[in-house]
Amino acid sequence: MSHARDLLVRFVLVGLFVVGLGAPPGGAQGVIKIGNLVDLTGPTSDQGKDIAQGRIDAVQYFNERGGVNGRKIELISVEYGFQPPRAVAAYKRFVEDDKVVMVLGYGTPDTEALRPYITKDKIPYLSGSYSGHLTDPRQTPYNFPGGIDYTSQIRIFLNYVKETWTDTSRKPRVAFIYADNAYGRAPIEAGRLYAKEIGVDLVDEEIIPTVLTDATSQLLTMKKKDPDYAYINTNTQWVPVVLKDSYKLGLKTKYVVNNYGIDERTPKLAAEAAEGVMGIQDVAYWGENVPGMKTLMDYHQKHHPGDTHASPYMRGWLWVIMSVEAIKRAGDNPTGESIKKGLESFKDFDTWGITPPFSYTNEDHRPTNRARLVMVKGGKIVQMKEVSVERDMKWIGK
Amino acid sequence: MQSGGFRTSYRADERIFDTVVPIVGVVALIVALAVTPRFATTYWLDVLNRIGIAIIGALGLNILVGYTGQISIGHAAFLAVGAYSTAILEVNAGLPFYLALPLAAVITSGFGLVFGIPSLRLRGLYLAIATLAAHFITTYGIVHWESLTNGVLGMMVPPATIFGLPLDSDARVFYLIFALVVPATFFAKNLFRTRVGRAFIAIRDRDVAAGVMGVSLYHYKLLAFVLSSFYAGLAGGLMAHHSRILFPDAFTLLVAIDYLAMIIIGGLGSILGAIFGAVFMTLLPEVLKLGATSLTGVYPNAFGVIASTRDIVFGLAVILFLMYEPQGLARIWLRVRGYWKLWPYAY
Repeated sequence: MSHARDLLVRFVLVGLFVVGLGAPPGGAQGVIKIGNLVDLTGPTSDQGKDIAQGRIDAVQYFNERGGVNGRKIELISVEYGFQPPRAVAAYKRFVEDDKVVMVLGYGTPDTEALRPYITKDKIPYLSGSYSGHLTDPRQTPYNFPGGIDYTSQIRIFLNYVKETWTDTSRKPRVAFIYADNAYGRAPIEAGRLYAKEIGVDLVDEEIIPTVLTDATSQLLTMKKKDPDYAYINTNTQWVPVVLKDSYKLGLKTKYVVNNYGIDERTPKLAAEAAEGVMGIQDVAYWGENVPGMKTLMDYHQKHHPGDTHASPYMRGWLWVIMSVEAIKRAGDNPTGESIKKGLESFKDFDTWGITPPFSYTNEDHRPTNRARLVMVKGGKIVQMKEVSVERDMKWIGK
Repeated sequence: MQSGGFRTSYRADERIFDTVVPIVGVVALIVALAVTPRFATTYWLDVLNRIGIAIIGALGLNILVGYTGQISIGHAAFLAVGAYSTAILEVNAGLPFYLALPLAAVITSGFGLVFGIPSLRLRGLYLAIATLAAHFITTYGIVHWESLTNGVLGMMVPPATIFGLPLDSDARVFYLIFALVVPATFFAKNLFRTRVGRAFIAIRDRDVAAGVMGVSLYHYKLLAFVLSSFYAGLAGGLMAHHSRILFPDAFTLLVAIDYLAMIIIGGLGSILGAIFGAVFMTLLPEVLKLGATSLTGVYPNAFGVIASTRDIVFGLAVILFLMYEPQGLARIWLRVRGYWKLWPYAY
C-alpha cells in the first residue's frame, strides 16, 4: 500500500515543517517578555478570544511606537482551555524557560491555584480574575486583579438592593446564582456575610454548571423562595440561558449580573429575556466615548478593518496599557520586584478612560472601588449610574 | 547462510526481541531518556512527563479495549480515582508518597472491578454506555464530596518525597515517571506472552469460543478491568504529582475520548501502539501551539485560529487512520522498519 506510505511521508514532512517553525527565535536581546495566558477553546472563550486579540493588538501598538524604555515587548501566548493544570504547565514554562518579567493571567481557578508559585517566584501576575482572594498583598504580594474585585461587585449589588428597597414591612430578599467553579464561588462567602451585615435576606443560592445548557430546575427551586433580586455570577455566554429560562418560567425576580456576565452582546443573545436586566460594568464598551477609544479604534480599524469586538477586547488593551506603564516605572532593568513596585505606585492612574482611575498600594491590591450600573432597555444596553463602594479594609482578601 | 527468520522452537517464537538491534535500540532509548533532564527545558520536560503519564494510561486502556475487547469510556474516571486517591492518602491520611501511589492504584483497581461487573452481561456499545455511567458517577462524586476532594475549588498536592528528596521540579518528576513507564511497559508486553494475556485475546476474538475452550469469562473479564484500572490509577497518581493541582475539570469525558483516540491512532492491541498513540496525541497540540506562537509575529491572528483547529486536526487524524491504517502507527512503524530491513535490496 504505497498510499499509506505517501501519507506517512507527508505527515513527517508537515511535522518537520511545523516543528521548524516552532523553534524559538533566538538571540532576541533586549526584548521584554511577558507571559500571556488565555482560554480560546474552553467555557470562557467568549471572553478569551477578544482578550487575546486585545492584548496582541495593544502590544503591537506599543511596539510600533518604540516599545517601553526603548525595548520591544514580546508576548508569549499560551492557550489553556480554562484547565488549571494546563495553566500551571504554562506558568512553569513562562518562568523557567522564557524568563518572563510578568504574566498576564486569566481565570480565577488557575490564578488562585498558582498563588503559592507566584509569591515564591516573585512574578507580578496581572489577572483577568478579579477574585477578592487576590487583593491582599500580605498574602498574595504579586497578584494584581485587573479590575474591580468580585467582592466589591457583590457589595455594590447588595448596597443597590438595600438603597432602592422602599417596602418597610419586610426586608428585601435576594438570591445568588453562580457557576460551579472557583470563579463563580469567589465572592459568595463575602456576599453572605455582607448581606447579613446590612440587613438583606439571602433566601436562596443556586449553583449552575460552568457550561450551562439549561437552568430550569435551579430556577424552579428559586421561584419557590421568591427573591426580589438575584445576582448572577457566570459568563456572558451562559447568562442568557438563565435569563431565557427565567423569562419562560415567568419569574418576577430582577437580575443583576457581574462584570463578566453582561456586556453589549447580552441584548442580542438573550433578546426579550434581557429586558430590564441590570449589570455591573467594569470597562468601557466597544466604541464608547472615552478618551483613549479613538486611538484604539483607529489602530484596530487600520489592522483589522471590518472586524468588531466587545468589551473583553478593551480588557486586553487595559492590561497591556497597565503593564507597559508598570514596566516603564520599573526602569531600565525591570525585574519582578521592580514591576511590582511600579504597579503599586499607580495612583489614580488614567487607563485611557477605559476604566475609572486605578490605584494599587502595597496594602491594597483592589485597583478601584468604582464601576457603573447598566441596564438592558429596548434591546440596548444603557448606563444607569456611576456606583462605588467603600474601600473597607475588612473585605480585603475575602 | 540464513535468509529469514526461521524459528525452530516455541521459545524462539515467543521472543520479544528477534535480534540484537532492537535490544540496543531500547537500551539506547532508556539511556537517552535518563540524560534528557540535563538538556531539556522545563517546557519539554513537562511535555515528556505528560507523554509518560499518557503511555501508562494508554497501556492500561489498551489491555482492556485493544486486547480484551471490552470497550470502556470510563478511563478518565479511573484516572481521576487514581489521582484523587493518591492526593487524599497523602494530604489527609499523611501517608508517604511511595505507599500512597501503589495503594491508590489498588483502590482504582477496586473501582475497576466494581465497574467491570456489567461487562459480564454486556458487550460492545452496551458496555460502553455502562462505563459511561461509571464516568458520571465518579465525577459527580468528586465534585460533590467536598469534605474529601474540595470539590470544584481543587486540591493542592504537596511534592512527593523519596528518601528526603522532594520531587519538586519537572526533572525529578520525570525520573519518577520514567522509572514507572519502563516496568509498566515490560509488564504489559510480557502479559501477552502468558496464559492470562492469551485468555484476554481469546475473549476479544470471540468470547463464546473462549468460554468453550475453558477460559473463565467471569475471572478474566474482571481481571482485565482490574489490570487496566491499576494502570489508570498509577497514571492518575502521577498526574497528581506532576501538576500538583487537581481539579474535577481535568477529568472530563473528553479525556476518556482522547485516550481511546490514542490507542486507535497508535494501534489497538499493541503495546508499541499505546506508546506511539500517547506520544502522538500529546505532541500534536503542542506542535500546533508552537506553530501558532511563532506565527504571531507574522500573522497576529494565527494564535487564535490555530488553537481552535486542535480538535479538527484530531478528528481528521482519527478518520484518516481508521480509513487508511486501522492498525495505527504501530503498523506503519512495522512496515517502515520492514522496508529498511531489506533496503536497498527489496524485491
